[in-house]
Amino acid sequence: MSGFAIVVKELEKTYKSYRRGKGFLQALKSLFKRETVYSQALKGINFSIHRGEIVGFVGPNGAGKSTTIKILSGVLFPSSGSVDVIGFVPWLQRTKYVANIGAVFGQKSQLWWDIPPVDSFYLSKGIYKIPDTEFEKRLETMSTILKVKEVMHRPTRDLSLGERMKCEFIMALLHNPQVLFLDEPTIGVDALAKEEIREFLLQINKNYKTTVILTTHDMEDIEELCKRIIIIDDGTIIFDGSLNDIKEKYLTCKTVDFQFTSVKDKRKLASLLKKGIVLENKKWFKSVRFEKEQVNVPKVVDELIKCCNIIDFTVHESRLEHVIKEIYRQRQK
Amino acid sequence: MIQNLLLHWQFVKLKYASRMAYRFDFFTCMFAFFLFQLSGPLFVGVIFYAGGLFPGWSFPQLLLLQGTLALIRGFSFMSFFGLLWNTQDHMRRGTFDLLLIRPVNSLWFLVMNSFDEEDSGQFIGGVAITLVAVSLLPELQGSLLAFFAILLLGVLFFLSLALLCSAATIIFIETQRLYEFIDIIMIFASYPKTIYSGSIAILFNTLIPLFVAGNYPASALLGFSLDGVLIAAVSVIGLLTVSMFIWHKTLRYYTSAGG
Ligand SMILES: Nc1ncnc2c1ncn2[C@@H]1O[C@H](COP(=O)(O)OP(=O)(O)OP(=O)(O)O)[C@@H](O)[C@H]1O
Ligand SMILES: [Mg+2]
Repeated sequence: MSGFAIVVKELEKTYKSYRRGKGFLQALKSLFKRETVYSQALKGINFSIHRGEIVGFVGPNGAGKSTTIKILSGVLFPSSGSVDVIGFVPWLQRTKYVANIGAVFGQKSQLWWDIPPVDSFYLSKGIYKIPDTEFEKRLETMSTILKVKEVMHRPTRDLSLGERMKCEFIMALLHNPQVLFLDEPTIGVDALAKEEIREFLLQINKNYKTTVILTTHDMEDIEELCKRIIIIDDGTIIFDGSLNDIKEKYLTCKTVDFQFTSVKDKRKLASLLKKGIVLENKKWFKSVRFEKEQVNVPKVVDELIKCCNIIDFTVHESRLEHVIKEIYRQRQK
Repeated sequence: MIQNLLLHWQFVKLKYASRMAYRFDFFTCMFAFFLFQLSGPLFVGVIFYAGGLFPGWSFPQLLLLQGTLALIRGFSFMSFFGLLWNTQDHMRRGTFDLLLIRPVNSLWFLVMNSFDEEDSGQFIGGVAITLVAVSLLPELQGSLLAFFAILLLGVLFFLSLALLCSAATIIFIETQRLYEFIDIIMIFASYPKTIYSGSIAILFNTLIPLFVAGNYPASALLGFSLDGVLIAAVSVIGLLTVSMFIWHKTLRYYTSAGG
């Protein structure tokens, strides 16, 4: 067996949909003659993922992330290209294949709405034919780590979003899948619960060598969980490498945040701000990014202190979030 | 297979359990459907006494026809007709994805999910009407075995219809009109076979074999002629096979919803 859990080659997906006319007459017309609209969501992407890796899959809205996840999990048929996940072609051997994967889709619940999560777990046990002892053990461990032992006996509809998401994770992992697909799993979850979920994922990944693909718009998720990141935009992969690489390649600047109460030299301040890119521009708070190669940051800082009454001050490397934003922005040009 | 059935049973129990939590709602719903079932025979009864339009059928015999149709229909609605609404709902919200990532036959899983405990009132109503009709009849000359065998055919006929509608929904998403088509089929199935003739009679025995949903099972119990039942049986099996095939084929065209 190769060391790869997932191998994707020249994967393409074109959606076909029909444009509907406005109003009754147009609708009537479209009964006979429909205008077909094609949209190419994936334009031939290639990547491979090792067993046990956690890979962040990011990109702007409409980039094709969910489409990729749906194809990899056997839900959609691609238009062309090949995919191998743990030895299966997902859409062709779907029923057999999906016994080996788990998935959490942030916007779609796998728990039955009117019954407590624990009952859904028991159904899962039946569906995946999980042996009694293993089931009990896994449920015990997971519900303890995620702190849902009490909560999971209440009907799903009564749970808070965070509590429900934790139960979704248990649902997706009870059968010990080899590959886990996460599509925006922490959407709307508070900071503390996010942290618990991340801890939990890291533990699962470490104990069971679970391969994880994670789609999210939360760069903190990525920084905490992934060593590797794949950036997709407009159906094309534009970056595939380690987080360190991306930081080295794109973190060529420092950001200076400062808060002040008055300005002594307005013209001086304006000229200093011009040396960088102003990320945030409030009356008494500015966040400015300077290219390290072009600007002597310590000197700028020194002059800033001289021309304003500064009450708070920080200098830091750009955050991953800003890097990603910058990459998206460059692509748009 | 056994395991699947056990799982199905586990699911049905769970559905009832979660439903019973709202006891009042559950019983009123059952009762409402029960009453609804009685409206069909009432209608036919009125027509019967008003003009006796059904040559060769007495009122209790007609009632038996109504009862069997109601029974088959009730059972189908309870066990799998939720498929239609369920598919549409899944398509709109894109939750069909979640069905596809389960390691079971998706069609079966969808059917399992479509069990509708509310409609058990319909089923019970159908059984009740049938029993009343039987008690009104002097004696039954037919075969109980044939009756049950044809009942099963009736259920399979409705299953095929449900599958075809579900498949259409997967591709077109908006398919309201199809449900009305099924209502019309129910109406045609509720009259004695003898009122149809020529190509209509042939149509209802072959392409749309709706006679199996009331006429043949009632006739089997009454000892009436079962001419054509074999052709109808073959048609039902054919229809079911084709509809299952089509259903699985449509998965290729499923596009999920954005998100
Ligand atoms: N069912 C569908 N039918 C037609 N077009 C679709 C469908 N689903 C997605 N698309 C289109 O395909 C493209 C990629 O969509 P996708 O859902 O994969 O994006 P995404 O990267 O997940 O975006 P987001 O971050 O907003 O979730 C979009 O342009 C979208 O409009
Ligand atoms: Mg998405």
